[in-house]
Amino acid sequence: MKYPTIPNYTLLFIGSLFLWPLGCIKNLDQPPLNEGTNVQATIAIRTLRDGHIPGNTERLIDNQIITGIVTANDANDNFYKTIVIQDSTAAITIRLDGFGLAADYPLGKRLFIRLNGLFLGEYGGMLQLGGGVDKTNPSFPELLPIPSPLFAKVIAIGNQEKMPEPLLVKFEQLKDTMQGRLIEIDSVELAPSDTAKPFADYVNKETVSHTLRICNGGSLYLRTSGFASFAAVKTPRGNGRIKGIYTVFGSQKQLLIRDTADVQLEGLRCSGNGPRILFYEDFENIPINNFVQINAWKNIAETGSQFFLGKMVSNNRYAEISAFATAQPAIATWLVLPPINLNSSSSEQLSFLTKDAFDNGAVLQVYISTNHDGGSQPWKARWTVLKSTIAKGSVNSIATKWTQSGKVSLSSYNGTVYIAFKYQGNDLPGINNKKTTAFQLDEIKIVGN
Amino acid sequence: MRIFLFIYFLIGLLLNCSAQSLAIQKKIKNQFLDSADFNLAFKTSADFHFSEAGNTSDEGNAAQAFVPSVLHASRDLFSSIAAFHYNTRRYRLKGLAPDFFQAFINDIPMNQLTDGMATWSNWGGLNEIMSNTQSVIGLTENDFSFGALGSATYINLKASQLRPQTTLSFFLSNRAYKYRFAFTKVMPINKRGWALAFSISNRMGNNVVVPGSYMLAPAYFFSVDKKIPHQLFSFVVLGVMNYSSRSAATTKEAIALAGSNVYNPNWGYQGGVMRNANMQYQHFPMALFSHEYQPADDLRFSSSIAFSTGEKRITGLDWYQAADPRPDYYRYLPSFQTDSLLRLQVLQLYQENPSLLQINWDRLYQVNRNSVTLIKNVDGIAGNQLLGLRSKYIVEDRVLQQNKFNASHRINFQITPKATLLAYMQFQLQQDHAYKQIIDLLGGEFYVDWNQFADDQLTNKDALQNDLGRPNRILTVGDSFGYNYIMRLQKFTAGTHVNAKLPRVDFFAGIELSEQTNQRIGLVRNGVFPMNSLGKSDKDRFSWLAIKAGLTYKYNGRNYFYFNTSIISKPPNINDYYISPRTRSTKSELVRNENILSAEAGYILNAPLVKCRINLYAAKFTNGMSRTSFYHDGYRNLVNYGLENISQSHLGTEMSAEFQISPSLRATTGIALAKYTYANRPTFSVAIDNEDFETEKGVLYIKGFPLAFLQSVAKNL
Repeated sequence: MKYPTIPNYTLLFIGSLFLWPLGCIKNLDQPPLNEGTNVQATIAIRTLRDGHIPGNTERLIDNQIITGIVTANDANDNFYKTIVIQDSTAAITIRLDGFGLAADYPLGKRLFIRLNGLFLGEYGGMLQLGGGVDKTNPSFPELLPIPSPLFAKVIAIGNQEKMPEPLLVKFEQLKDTMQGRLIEIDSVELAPSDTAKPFADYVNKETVSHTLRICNGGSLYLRTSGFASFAAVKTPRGNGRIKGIYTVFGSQKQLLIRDTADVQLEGLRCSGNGPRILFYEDFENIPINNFVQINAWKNIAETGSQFFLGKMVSNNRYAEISAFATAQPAIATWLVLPPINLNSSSSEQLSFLTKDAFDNGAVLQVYISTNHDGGSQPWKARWTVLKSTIAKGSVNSIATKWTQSGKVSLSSYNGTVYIAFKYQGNDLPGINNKKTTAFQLDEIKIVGN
Repeated sequence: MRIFLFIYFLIGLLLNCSAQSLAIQKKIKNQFLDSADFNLAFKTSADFHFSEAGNTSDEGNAAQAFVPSVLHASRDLFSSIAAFHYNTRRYRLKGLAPDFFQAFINDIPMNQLTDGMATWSNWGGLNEIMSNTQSVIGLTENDFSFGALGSATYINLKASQLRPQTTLSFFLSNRAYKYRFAFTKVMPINKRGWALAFSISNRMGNNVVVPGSYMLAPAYFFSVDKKIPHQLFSFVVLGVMNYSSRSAATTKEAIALAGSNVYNPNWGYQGGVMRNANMQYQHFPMALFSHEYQPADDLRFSSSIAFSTGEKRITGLDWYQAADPRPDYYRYLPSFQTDSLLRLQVLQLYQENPSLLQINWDRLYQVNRNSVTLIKNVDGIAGNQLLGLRSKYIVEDRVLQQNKFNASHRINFQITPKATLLAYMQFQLQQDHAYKQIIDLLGGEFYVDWNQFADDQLTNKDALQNDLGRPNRILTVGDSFGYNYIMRLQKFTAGTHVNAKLPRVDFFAGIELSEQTNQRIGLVRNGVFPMNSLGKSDKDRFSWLAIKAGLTYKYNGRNYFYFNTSIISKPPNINDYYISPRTRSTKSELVRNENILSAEAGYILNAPLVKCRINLYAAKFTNGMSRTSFYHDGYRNLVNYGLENISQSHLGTEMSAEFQISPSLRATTGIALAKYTYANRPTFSVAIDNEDFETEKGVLYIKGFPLAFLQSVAKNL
């Protein structure tokens, strides 16, 4: 609601008795855009770090100023009352006693920190800037965060800048000078016991460390707070790259991610037995021109009594289905693969080949289900379409080449799953109504670690 | 007061009481002695003169004669002392909650069906026409309705029954407002039977005492009456548009830091202008039609219907994923720092920059302009994305739109010369529609209809959605969001009351039957409560009975002893048994009427030079329930603390005395002593606004504890 303003003249007041000043609604001026700050940095973060005597807590009394770009904050609550800034030389963690820090200090914001009066100390070997020091236990002085009313005094906010590129590092490069830096590690995967687990204990709000193994040797911890918004997300099982803030606790090397986009572990694992075939079917043993009947497979017509048939061309057998010349108003047919257990594997990928012929719009899709009972009514289960490439567009002939499905990742699934191919078409009267595309299917394969 | 009563009952006759009272007294006294002609005794106005007569009556004859009754139409001394002196100290008469105090305009009940409170602010500022008002303290005899345990106030706004006047008023004040202007014209009934009254007023003030405070409250009133033989038709329209700032409680520490007793944390400068974040607007215009029919002197029918429609808006800040914008938030104050060095630093900071104790609007804009956010699946459509500035701070209105329809019918009948009968019916229908609305995005481009208090429910991704019908809805200025529900309430009341005045004893008894139906209608499906937030809830039907009776022994015209008692029942208010109507239809497990047994006894002395009243009262409340909602910093969420099965006992005495020192000088005194305690161990339950279970439940061991916020001793001289 906008509220009318009251003029400051008594006479107007008297007039207002008869002409209520309901028209005087003033729009307030919006504050000008933040044009950065004229504060200048006087020292590099590296210089600040170098001045620290290990094990000590120092009060900073010089009027020095550091600057850096925010690389981590509490946006997803994995960092608690903490932001991390870095310049080209090094990074530093700043402890701030407030919530919603990401609102004032978003990623990529340039900040200037007035060091005078702040404290530089360690927490488990991790160098941090704080507002005070608690010496209740003299042998373990504890750094206190900067009180929120003092933020504006200590921190000058500059412009939004481009995020610094993460530093691609090898295990040997993870030294204490790297503390707080935004790093990226290549060819890394979670230990088998830590895959497909929640990132942290979101029920009890406990921090969890998962072991990250680097293929060329070395390991570090992926540490996640139980308060993180992504704590309930399951860890990926594959191999790949991971970005994050490098931290230490004692002699432990740790990585803290900002959100799950920092984790790109979708490839095949390097450790273990290597990729192996979990399932393979090339249809070379099925009878020709007959229903596809393989042990533990199901070939089910939901409507229209049309089934996947065995076919052979140039000594290659495959499964084929079409609604052509069936005179059925609707055809829906399922080819359900045997149950596949994904528990003892990781980074599973499905692939298959398809060919289409005389395409006029019938559909073949591949589905996955975790709640199908294996019975003869698969439509009663919940199926999810798997994104894959299926042959299409051969309007006047049979496709000459098989279409590769692409590698369909099943790594987000666990336990026993069913995979099914479902054909949907019809043979209605009228040439424009028909959806009779013929599909050929071959080389169904699932590989995994 | 006496003038108004005469206007009311002897229409067209304006009597100056002080000039003619003696003559009338004599006349009335003669009538008592000669009881053959007793018609006047029925009228309340006559009551007044009975007591005047009592003051001058000859006590020697009292044993045989009819002893005049105590008047109830004039103001009770103790309650006027309480109103003028104790109310400013938050004194509550007999320790009673506000819903035990009723107000009526032209017979129409003005208490909300939601919380039972009388809506005084809906006619605030129309002082000039509010003088034809009668108050009945406690459950005593009454010509209008059953009354209320606290008090019942009957306001008469019929043009022909207001004091004829042409008034231009101008007041200066230094409280909520600075100036008040009013123009009032009341034209008495003319030869053709028409009477007309209107009044307009305006209350205004900027920064009157408290910086950042504001009030602008124009009010209007119009009434027209048409009298034909035995009948009176009335039409009344009134309303108050009240724009004002809201006050906020702050801490002693913040007041000390600001160095000002009138420190107000609600405002801050924006572009050089003081901008207050906490504002309020309300306007509930009302139209009433009344009809009075008096076929004979001893029979009167009064009927009224009333319509009211309007809204109340509470304007305030809301924020999501950002620091608390209130400058006096306890975590920002020096005392929050446990380290002495840091405490000193924070203290110095505030001493050097007093502006830090006001809202920093500029910062709110900067934060919103920083807040580049990608919203996925806008409106629940997969792949529908929006990249832009999602406001982290907004100004929102919490809107309440209200429609009311009321009807009442009353019959007053003089059964015998000494006994009167009152019978009445009232019907009330109220519909409250509550929702939130975006008012200002403070530099951002949009807001999202998310529930900030549910975003840590990681296992339920839908929990974040305020409206599952439109997940991730993008909001701009003017959009409604958050909660959205309707409360539909209706109440039917019927009652009767007899009143007898015997020579030495006055007696009354009354009974009232009521039925109320409440229903919540959710308009959005909330992500945390998908199964019980949308649609109509089960209706709750409450039926209850109230009985009262009282006896006054008239020893003589100066000394009266009385005893009144009542047994009343009362349904719980909807906010007391709905756990959180904002989000869901869930109710308390045990919903039942509260029972109140009360009694009072006392002595009245009505001598020419000394008037004194001693009143002892006792009340026992059982099966009470209450619910308090507040932001809990530990849960970081809104919580609802519910109490069930509350029993409380109220015991006390009120003493008032008035001494006529000289014809123009009088001294009054009032003393109240009371003991308000819990009489059992109520059960409590704690429910978080955004979780579908009770987090705590148990028994409160508070038997014998005093009730909070009530004074046990009040004195005035």
